[in-house]
Amino acid sequence: MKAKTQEEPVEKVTSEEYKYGFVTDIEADSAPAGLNEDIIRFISHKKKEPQFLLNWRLKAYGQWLKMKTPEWAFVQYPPIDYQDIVYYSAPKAGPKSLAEVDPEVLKTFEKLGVPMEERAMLAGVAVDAVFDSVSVGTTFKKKLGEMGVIFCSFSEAVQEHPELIEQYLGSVVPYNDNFYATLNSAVFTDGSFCYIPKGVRCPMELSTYFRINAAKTGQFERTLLIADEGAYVSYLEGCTAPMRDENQLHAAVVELVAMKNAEIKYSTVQNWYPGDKEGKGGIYNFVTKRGACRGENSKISWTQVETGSAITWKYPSCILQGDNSVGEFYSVAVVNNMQQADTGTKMIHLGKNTKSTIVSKGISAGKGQNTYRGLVRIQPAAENAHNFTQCDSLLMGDKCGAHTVPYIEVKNNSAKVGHEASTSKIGEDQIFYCQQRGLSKEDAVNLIVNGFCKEVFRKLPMEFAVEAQKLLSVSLEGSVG
Amino acid sequence: MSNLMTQDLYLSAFTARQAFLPGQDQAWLKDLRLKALEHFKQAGFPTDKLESWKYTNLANNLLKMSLSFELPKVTPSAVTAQLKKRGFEVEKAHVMVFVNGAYSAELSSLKTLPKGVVIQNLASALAHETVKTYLGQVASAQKKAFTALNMAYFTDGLFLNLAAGQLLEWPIHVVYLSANASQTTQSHLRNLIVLGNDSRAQVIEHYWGENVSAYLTNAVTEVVLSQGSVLDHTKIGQEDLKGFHVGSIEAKQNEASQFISRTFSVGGALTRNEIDTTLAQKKAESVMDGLYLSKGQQHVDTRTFIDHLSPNCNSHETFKGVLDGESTAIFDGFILVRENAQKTDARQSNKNLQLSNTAKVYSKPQLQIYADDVKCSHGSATGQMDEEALFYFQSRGISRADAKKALVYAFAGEMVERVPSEYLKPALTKFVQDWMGGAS
Repeated sequence: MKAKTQEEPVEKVTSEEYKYGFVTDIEADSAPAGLNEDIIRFISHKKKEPQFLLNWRLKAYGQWLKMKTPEWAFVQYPPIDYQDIVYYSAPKAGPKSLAEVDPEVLKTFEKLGVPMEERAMLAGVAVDAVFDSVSVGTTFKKKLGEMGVIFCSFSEAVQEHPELIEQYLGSVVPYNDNFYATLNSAVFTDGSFCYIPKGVRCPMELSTYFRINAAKTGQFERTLLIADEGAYVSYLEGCTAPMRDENQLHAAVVELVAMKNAEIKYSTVQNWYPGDKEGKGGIYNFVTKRGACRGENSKISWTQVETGSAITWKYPSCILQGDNSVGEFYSVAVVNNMQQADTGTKMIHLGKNTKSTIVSKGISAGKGQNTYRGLVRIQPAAENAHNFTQCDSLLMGDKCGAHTVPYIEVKNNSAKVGHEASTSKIGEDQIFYCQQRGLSKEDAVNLIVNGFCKEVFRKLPMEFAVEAQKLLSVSLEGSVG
Repeated sequence: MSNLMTQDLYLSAFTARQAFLPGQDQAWLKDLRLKALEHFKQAGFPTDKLESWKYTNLANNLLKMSLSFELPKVTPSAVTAQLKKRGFEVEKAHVMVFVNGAYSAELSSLKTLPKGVVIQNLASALAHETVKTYLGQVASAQKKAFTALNMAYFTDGLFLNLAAGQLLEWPIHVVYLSANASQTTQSHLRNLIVLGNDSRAQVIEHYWGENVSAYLTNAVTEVVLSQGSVLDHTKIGQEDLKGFHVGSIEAKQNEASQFISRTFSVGGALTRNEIDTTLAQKKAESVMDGLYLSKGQQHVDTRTFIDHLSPNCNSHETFKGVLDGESTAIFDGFILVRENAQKTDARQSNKNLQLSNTAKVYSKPQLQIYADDVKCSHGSATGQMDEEALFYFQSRGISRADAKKALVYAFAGEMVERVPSEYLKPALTKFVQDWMGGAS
């Protein structure tokens, strides 16, 4: 195995750094707060990574030191002290039983209709005590294994399939891509890895929800998903139940690769803790997501429902390299109270006859600020490229904001590119119509909001769609009237 | 004196140039000029690192030029005849002519004006109280480097002031001519338009170049609209292909005022048009129309900013572009609806027709909305000639070339059709047709 042969130099390099510091901590479960080369070597050593990965991390770290925090997004937050973050720590034990869980969270589970046994798992209670997820996981894995599908944690993949990692890691989001992606490249601790071999149609929706230990992937998560020629996969990330986390900064990277005739459907429901009514303590979600349609007729489809986080900063993108490839982006972003979201997509058309569709629905309530920021670029070689963009905003309350910042760059005249956007509030007449038919005002608003988002919900897998609807009404609770 | 356009040059040349600038006896103006120079010192020439200049890089073109500060005295060909040739019935307008940044009384023809109407060249109106009150107030030197440069170096321009209730019958047609023959030049032109309550005027800013070497026109227009006043403003850009044009129009609108702004642009190696309006009081209305036609290596950059500050205001913005050759067009439209601006109705649309597959279009229609009871929309579309429509024409015996012209005119002509002015319509029709005559 390649991994074995590379272990030796790893040992050599990783043992070198300890003369500079924290020797006693080598065997400890946590690294001290702060970021330097030693910490990166420590993480890599802890995870028994091959040399190429350590080099890659260090290269990213060197680059990161030269970079500045991006300031172009419409979001405001106090500067982050990167030396105050613990970049590696062993998984912590959660609350021992449901009784120890925040009653607010339990109330939300109730509203969402989460099954009793799942509530415990979601709240972070040690899983095997109440819910036998292991058995679910293993039956899953067996079936996938028979078809040649690799679906495991990133760390496992590094050990078992280093050749795939070496080939694809950073091929879509390079280590020097942007401030947060570069930080992630240097210090990521775990994530998901998925490889669908040639011609395989993945029989079930893959979900991090079912992957063992998924909840403990840490704040710098790395996901790599490859669909080889003719493969199909539908991947679900996140879950509708609120996720609490003591880490405020989350900088994840997701890379998708679709080869010839392959299709990837990537759905996200994000409902991280948005902070209290004054916006204190919420999660900063700074994510880089990008997919490359490498081969002909390949397709990548992003669907996202964003209701959580104090600040969301993410732009799931598609690079349409292969001829006839297709990129899609469907998004619902909700901000309430003090939440801020700056989200959108990039569609880079390189190949002939490439098509992209963008449907973005933004809902702002309370004092929330919601921004759609998108780029559609048609390169000179992209003959007959098509793009359609629609982004609508709904305003609820007079203190919120909705912003649209599209960039459209067309360098080939055979392209057809269209962008439409509208912003409005829920019509008084629409609410009145519902009320005179016996609906309460709150129900009326829910009905209208769900109608507004229907185009996106339709793209979600069935069970997700139902939960997303409920989630939306919970997120907007109390913002009417 | 001819040096490379650098920030240092403008900072150091000022002392020497000052003596040639108007308003030496006005202390307030001298002060404004120095302050503006200071702002320019802070800002420097814009680079493509600035979001608002992302797609226009001056470093490889304008800033590589050596432009003289001298204003050559040239007597151009009969301007009246030129205007007639371009389709204007000049007998029905007040005509003002500026040549290479200086006012030419002999080429201008101002008709008798009623009391309460001031149409003058700005250099001779600097002692006017209104000028002192408003100059540099709307188009602040703090925001834009070229506006700062303009304030420091401006030589002349239009000053229009209407007293309350004055309805100006004929349009004011202002020609800014660059005719520098063998010498490179730069003109920094400044216009100030102040309309009193319920007054009304039509102004045409017309930029063109003939018999020229490389030149820069840096024009700033400030508009103050009092309650209920209406300004119909049209800017026609027919600069020479050796010319660079950087222009900024900034308006402040009070209650129920109406600002109609049209920009028609065909000329220039590089054209940058900025149009900003602030709807400062309720029920103000703004219409911004524009058409840019480009070919060859031309670069045309349009940036608009509509600031909805008050409730019950409307803004309607429509910009269209036709691009041929290897030309580049940029449309960056920004609508800001502030917290207080409830019942806003803001619409924006940008449509581009690409005639060649080497032309580039960058469109960036932005909305920033902080009020909830609003109707805002924007749209952007970029596409090519409809093959089916061409086929339809051809199947009826019309040549492909003629069919193309008809379709381009159908697309671009909409902007001309919307112009109500009898004075402008024939000339603008010709404007579009002449351009198509040269297009492929």
